[in-house]
Amino acid sequence: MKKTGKLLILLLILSICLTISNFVLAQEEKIELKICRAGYPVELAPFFEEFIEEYQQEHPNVYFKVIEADWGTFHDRIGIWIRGKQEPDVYLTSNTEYASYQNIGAYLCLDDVMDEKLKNAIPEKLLEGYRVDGKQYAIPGNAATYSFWYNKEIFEKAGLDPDKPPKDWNELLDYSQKIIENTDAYGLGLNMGRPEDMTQLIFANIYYSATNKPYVDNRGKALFNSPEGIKAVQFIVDLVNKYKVTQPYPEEYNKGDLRLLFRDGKIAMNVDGPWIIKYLEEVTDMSSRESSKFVVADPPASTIEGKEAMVAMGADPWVISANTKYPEVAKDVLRKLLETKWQYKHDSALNQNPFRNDVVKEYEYDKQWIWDVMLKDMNRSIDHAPLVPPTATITEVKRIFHEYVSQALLGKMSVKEAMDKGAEEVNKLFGVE
Amino acid sequence: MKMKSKNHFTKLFSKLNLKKLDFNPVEIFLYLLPSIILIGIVFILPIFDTFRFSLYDMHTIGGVRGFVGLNNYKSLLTPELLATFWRTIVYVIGSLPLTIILGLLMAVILNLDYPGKRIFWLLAFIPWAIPHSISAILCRWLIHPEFGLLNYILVSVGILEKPMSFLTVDLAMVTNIGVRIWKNLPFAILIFIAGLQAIPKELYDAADIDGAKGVQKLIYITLPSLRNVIMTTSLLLGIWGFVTFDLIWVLTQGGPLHTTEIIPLTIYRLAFQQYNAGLASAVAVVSLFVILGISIVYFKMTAEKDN
Repeated sequence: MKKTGKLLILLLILSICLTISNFVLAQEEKIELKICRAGYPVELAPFFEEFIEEYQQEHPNVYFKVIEADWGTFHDRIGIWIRGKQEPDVYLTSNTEYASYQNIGAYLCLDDVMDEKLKNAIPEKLLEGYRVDGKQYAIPGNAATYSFWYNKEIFEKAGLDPDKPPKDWNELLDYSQKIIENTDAYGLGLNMGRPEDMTQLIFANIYYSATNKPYVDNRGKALFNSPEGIKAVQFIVDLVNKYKVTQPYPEEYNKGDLRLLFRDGKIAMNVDGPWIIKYLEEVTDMSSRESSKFVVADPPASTIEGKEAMVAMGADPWVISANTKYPEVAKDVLRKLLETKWQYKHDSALNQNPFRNDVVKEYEYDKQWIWDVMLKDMNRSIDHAPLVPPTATITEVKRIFHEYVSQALLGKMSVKEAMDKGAEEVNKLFGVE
Repeated sequence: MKMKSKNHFTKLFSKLNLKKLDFNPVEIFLYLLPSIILIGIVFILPIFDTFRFSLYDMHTIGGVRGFVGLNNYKSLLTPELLATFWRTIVYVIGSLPLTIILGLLMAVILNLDYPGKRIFWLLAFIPWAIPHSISAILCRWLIHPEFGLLNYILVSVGILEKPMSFLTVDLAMVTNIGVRIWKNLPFAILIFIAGLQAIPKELYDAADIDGAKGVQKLIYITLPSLRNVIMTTSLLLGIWGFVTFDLIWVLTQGGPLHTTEIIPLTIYRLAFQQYNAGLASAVAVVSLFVILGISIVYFKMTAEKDN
């Protein structure tokens, strides 16, 4: 009896302790969220510190683990993370990675994150690209245009007016030839090293200005073998092989190489996004158009009637993992990240152009003279911004397109033949005719 | 002395002329068990899984979509994939003879006694110390038409009129083979030096007495003595050539126009760019059998020669 009594008392004490601890735990449930903004871990470290500090003042039980990943690391790991259900809860991905995993249900629907203010702030065309069956699965966190840059000093040396950039393909060619004849620089930088680079920079601008259409339509049907598309590719092939106004062997250059050549005055004209600025700032004062030797300008229009000058652009979106244990908390965090103030801080930390109406109205950015041009480029190009078909990977489309453009550039086949074969392969990939 | 019952391990040890040990086979197995489990998980299980995946239509991230049997293997019979297998053979066979010949030559030179020998040893082994991906990046910069030191030197001394590309459609494979030879030479040198030092000195002494010259000693003593070492080194370098990925991926990514795409790159592209894990596994399985076949042929050849 004594033993039974002691045992009963022990059990009673144990159950009381368990009840108290469960109650306590329930009160202070610790929520840990993994957050990742791919691409710029160093630049964004202070941004996240400030964001997390402010968020935790209102939500002390939410803890964050910031996953630092540059783009290379992110591209390599995101697939494995998703497969192992280890991906961050809230993360900013690239538009190509988004497409790759959308069709396996990797993301949570964000309809209830999209309030009226956000819908009015972000251009509809950018939101449309991340909608499936009317539901929003991603929200752009940045949008950049690949704008036309040129070197005023090289223009002057070549006898060209430094305040008059080329307005169309004819002038682009003419200027390039004058630069080649009168200076040590190449006229134009062309990169063909990697599919993702080719489909963003000068090649993309020439293509979009000629066609005013993306590479594929909503269903995935190839559009690049249209007469205008073929004309654009032929022009690029001629710039390299016939007129020789670009740096030689463009297939060995990626966009990083071109940034260095442009910075060092080896090429007079280049196309790039806001990321080139940090390289150019090393050699010139970019606080104003007058002080900087590199300026950004309207893109040259094609010589095809009825077509407007356009640029390539991309928008990387925020998503929430479908595997997150705390969907409501994740949505709350994302709502806060998308607030005007935090969007401004994010853009400023990365030296990136503003793209949201609300941020542009409320804040003034450094280097506004550059953003004015890029915003204009965005508005002129956004109706034809490349749509991302959610049914298959856009990376594969770019790879096929790059392969066939390379075939034409290296003289293995004519441009028409290359574009037609490329289109056939892309259409087969999407199962369209 | 206590007589133990003859078992397989006892016979093995007695053949080695070791002192008879008092041991328990079960104990030996238990000591080996952690390694067996580790090898099983890291090595055997992935091979088994690869076989299994090759029979399915499988998305790399999304998982299995359906059983397809041998359809993935039938898909291998395309001109593109057959060309990839051919390029792999070219890559392996293209680099092997020069690696062996140069490795042997340098091993003979490094095996001699002369002042400053250690410096040459150091220089010879530097490529081995650098990771493959770093080596490829260094080579890319070295041969770059605009930024590369090689073009600068060749233009400065007048060999070239203007910088050239070493990664054109015609030259990219040659460049890759050259880089592979550079990377693998230290391994070949090391193995051959070990082999040279194992050759009994008395053979050379006897040859000296018989009036043999250097080349004769090389042909009639050195090379026959190193035959097995050369064969083993060739087999290892050949197998490694079949599975080289990082060196080529960083240098040319299989381009331009697939001219440097060998089997490992195709497997990567299929699995991680086209997300077709099933087809990628089928390529990997076929590749495994090709390497096994070569290895079996090699072992049979060496066994016959030994007999």
